[in-house]
Amino acid sequence: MRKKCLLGFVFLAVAGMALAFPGPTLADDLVIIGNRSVPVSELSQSDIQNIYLGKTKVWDNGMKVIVVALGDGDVTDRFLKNYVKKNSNTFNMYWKKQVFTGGGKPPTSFDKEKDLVEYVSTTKGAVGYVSSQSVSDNVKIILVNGE
Amino acid sequence: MMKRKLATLMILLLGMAFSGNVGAIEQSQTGKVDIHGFITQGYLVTDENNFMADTEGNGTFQFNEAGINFASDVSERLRLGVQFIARDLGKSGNKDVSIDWAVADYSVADWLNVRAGKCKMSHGLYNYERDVDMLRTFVFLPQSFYYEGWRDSVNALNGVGAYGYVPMGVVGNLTYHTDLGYTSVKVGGGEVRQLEETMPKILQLNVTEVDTDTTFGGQLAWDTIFGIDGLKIVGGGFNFEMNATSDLIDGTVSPLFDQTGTMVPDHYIYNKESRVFNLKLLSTAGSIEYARGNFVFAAEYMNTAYEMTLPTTIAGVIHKKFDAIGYYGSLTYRFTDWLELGAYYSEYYRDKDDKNGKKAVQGGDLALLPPGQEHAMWLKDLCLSSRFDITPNWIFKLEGHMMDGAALMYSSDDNALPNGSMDSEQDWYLMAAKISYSF
Repeated sequence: MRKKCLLGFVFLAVAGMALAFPGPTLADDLVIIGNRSVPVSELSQSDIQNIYLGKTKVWDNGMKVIVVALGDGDVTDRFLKNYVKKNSNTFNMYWKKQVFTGGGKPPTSFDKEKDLVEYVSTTKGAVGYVSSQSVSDNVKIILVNGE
Repeated sequence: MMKRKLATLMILLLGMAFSGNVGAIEQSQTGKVDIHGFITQGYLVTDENNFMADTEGNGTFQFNEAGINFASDVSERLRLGVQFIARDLGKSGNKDVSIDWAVADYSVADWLNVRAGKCKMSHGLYNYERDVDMLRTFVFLPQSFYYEGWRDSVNALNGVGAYGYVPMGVVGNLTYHTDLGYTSVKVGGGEVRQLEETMPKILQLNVTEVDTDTTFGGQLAWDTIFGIDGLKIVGGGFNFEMNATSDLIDGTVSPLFDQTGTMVPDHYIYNKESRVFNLKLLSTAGSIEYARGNFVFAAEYMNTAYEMTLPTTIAGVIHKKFDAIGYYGSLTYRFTDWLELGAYYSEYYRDKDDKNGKKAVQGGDLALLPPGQEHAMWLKDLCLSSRFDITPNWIFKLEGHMMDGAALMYSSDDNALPNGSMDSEQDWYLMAAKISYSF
């Protein structure tokens, strides 16, 4: 009886913690990562959307936001759908529009997750996304509010 | 000659990209200059009427654009960029190289960015990108709102502006743009030719010089309205004024002499006077766009209030005050990576108080249009378009327009009777094809 109560308590505590604290990933196995200089430890979905649409240009401390993305593929599709609320076609079109109207520079793109992680780890202000198995200790995992 | 001009532009610009000047920027704080460009070639053909070019019958290839831009983040908050463009559409553009936009853009905060230079003008949903074909489904944006004749002046202004973005939680996001400066209007350009069309042909009005006053405008966009992703409402407008020095007949005649100095009997020359034609224009617009997945719906409405004053000897001071209106609804859907289809229906009226053109043909010699040309006061356009993304860089478009009316066309594009009065057909078709390459 006591054992059951203890297990129940542990379950409720874990569930409560899961609800109380933001999670490190998206619904699947995506992780938002940042350079260690990035002055935030968590972002909301709309924060991420604004970063990837170039509306947020500098971090709170004045450091430039360097946006990094993976090339077309499943990870990018899921990231764009969940966070930027676009698909790869509308996202690419959005950035083409910025490029040809003086609105800004599109995210730096990498085909390989390993290369993206390497770039983020060595570039001040950089933020990107990868699948969880590609994360290294050299980057900061940015938690996502509400997940 | 024109081809050579275009080729020279491309070589010059590519050369600049690798010149010492750019190298100097490359060594700056962020160290990189981005270069992008595009080239398009189109073909237009109509069964009746000449639309913006010599399109009737065999059609025309005088429909192309080339652009190249250079941009760099020179500091954490400052971005510099310039885009050169050369375009040709009938009598417009003629492949003359001009600056499309050239801006210094400084970001103070997300809600306040300031810019200076030749800045793109905010106007409706798509004015920013109207010069860049690959950014849209259609070859022609709806002419009721994005009239090609006014493209050069509405496209951008020389001056300053501010813009920013303000998140408002569950209510959505607000984005604002303000513009202050002057726009470029050329003698012989679309704006001036349209101005000449607004006066009776008997005056033989010919604009010789243009002086534009300050243009100012702004726009407010509200997106993600109450959490609905892809929904956007936009409202705004701009104010424009110009004085056009013009030649027009003064009602007197002089005898005509031949090369030997002998007077030619029964032949006369109409004497001309120079007057200043003043135009004041206030354009206001409202737009809505809903994008969900591969589907985009858009609708826009624009009212342009014109006030014109032209002192003449033969007709006194001609003072005209009227509102032109234009609106459309469009749908696009992307079926695959390579295929997108779109359609829109658009209506334009030169004078909302004279939609059927009855007033325009009244007034005898001083009438705006000859009898039978009432349809030149409106243009109704049903467009079906297809876009094929052959590769990420190559795009081909094919579209058809079923037209009713002849507004937004020039009599000077060979749509005229021998006396210069408008001569057009009411029902006609336009087919447009365009291929573009961008990098």
